[in-house]
Amino acid sequence: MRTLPLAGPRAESAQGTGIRGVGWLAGGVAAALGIFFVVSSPTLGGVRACLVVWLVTWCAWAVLIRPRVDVQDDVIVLIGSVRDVRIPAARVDAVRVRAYLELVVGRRRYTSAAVGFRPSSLARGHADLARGLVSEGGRREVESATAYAAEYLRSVVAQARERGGEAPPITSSVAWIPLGSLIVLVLAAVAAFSL
Amino acid sequence: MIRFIFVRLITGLLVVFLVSVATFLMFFAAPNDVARTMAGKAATPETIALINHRLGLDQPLWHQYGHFIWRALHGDLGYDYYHQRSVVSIIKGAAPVSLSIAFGAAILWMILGVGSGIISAVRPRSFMDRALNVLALIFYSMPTFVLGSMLLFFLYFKLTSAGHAWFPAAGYVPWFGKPDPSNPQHGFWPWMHHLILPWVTLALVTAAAYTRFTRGSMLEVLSEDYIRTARAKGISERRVVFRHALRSALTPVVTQFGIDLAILAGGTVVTEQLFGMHGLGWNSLTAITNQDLPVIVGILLVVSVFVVVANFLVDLIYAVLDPRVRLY
Repeated sequence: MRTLPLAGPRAESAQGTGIRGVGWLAGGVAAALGIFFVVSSPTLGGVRACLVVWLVTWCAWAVLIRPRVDVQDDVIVLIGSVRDVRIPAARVDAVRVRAYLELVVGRRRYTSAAVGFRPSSLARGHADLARGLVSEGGRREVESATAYAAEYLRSVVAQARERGGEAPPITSSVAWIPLGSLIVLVLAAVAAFSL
Repeated sequence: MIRFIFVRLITGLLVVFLVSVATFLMFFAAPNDVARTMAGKAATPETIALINHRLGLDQPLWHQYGHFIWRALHGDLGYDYYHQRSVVSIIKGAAPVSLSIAFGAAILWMILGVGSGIISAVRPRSFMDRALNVLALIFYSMPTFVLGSMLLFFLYFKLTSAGHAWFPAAGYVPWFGKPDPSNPQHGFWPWMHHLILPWVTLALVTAAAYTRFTRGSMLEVLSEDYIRTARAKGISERRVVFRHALRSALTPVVTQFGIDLAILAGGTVVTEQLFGMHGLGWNSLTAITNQDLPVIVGILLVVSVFVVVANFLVDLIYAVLDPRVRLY
């Protein structure tokens, strides 16, 4: 898990580094393998093999690398594999972080795999932090970027609710870059295999 | 929960993909001339070219990798270079041996390791605690082949010499299936009888680490507030230890157990070699010695799947062991 500043002082981003490491490695290897297949054997077979391993790259990128949680001006943006959801912090009733992040808005729950404890670390005593029962520096000092991200999201929500006012509606949009690249890859693979 | 399983499944598949690429590149793309080794010293270039063609080694790399993955997805891991036996049949024959050794030893080391860890933690700094710690250190620092050789010498050789043939020297007897005509023994008791020494060897060496894990973890959990509360409520000490403390204390032990079991299931090279059992470890060693690439790659893939599945199961077991861990 890491946090890094984005555009301005009120913008933060969080992503899990553990699974992202696997994602970068597998995605990078598959991408390089695809290029190598085409370069070493510029035939239809090489192109087919390249497209198949690039689908692995897409999978690694979309499922493990792309998911992210951004906080921009009191809006929590859950960036998913093929869908992004913008949730005004003032609308969030509860922030739960267990194996992944869960934002409760009324009866609906919005989740993101970008922020979450590994089950082993939940078992090692981060569970109280995950439930929001103990703050960092409280009963048990836990050094964890996930715990920090969870606390940060809770503080953003608490501040937004304190300020009050009319919160904008929750919006959801399709992420066209991953979806488009998947469609292109699948179409290219279908074409290559039917030739 | 579904999201957790989905992400873990994708991660696991990507790890297996990485292992497949790494093993393929290491063994198929590395400059080792299998055809020349198979053809012998007096082989002509034509013979070598023919062998390369038959093995598919003259095809482009993408073709070899694609062919390898495609066949693997259809349950075909190729044929061993020297005897033309199917790799899947080799693994099918060897896996029960390795799994028998690994699971039996695992049960034994969990009983010994966790049991002694609890005794040590419940009475810290007592004579029992110190004695168990010393024993754990002795076995922890003892290589498997030393302990195995000692057990064979005393429990097989010495006892048999004295007329008490209580333990067999070597070999594996199957529990299920048709008996081998050369070795008519099979069934549960002969199977267990032949596995006792390998189990004890592996269990004693591994249990030592579990004693220390369990002790450390139990001491930490026993100092928690909720344990004091449970004692203050008048709950019996046995219930406090086994019902409240042990469940939480077992989580780090379970992590290690998953990894150890998966690795052992993939073959215990030294133990199998020592006790003459032809499991995955023995087959891996033979294949590495002969540069029998399809067998090595096949076994490595199976072991990587074991490790991925074991890690996934361990994560699910956390949620069962510790009520604070909820994966939704």
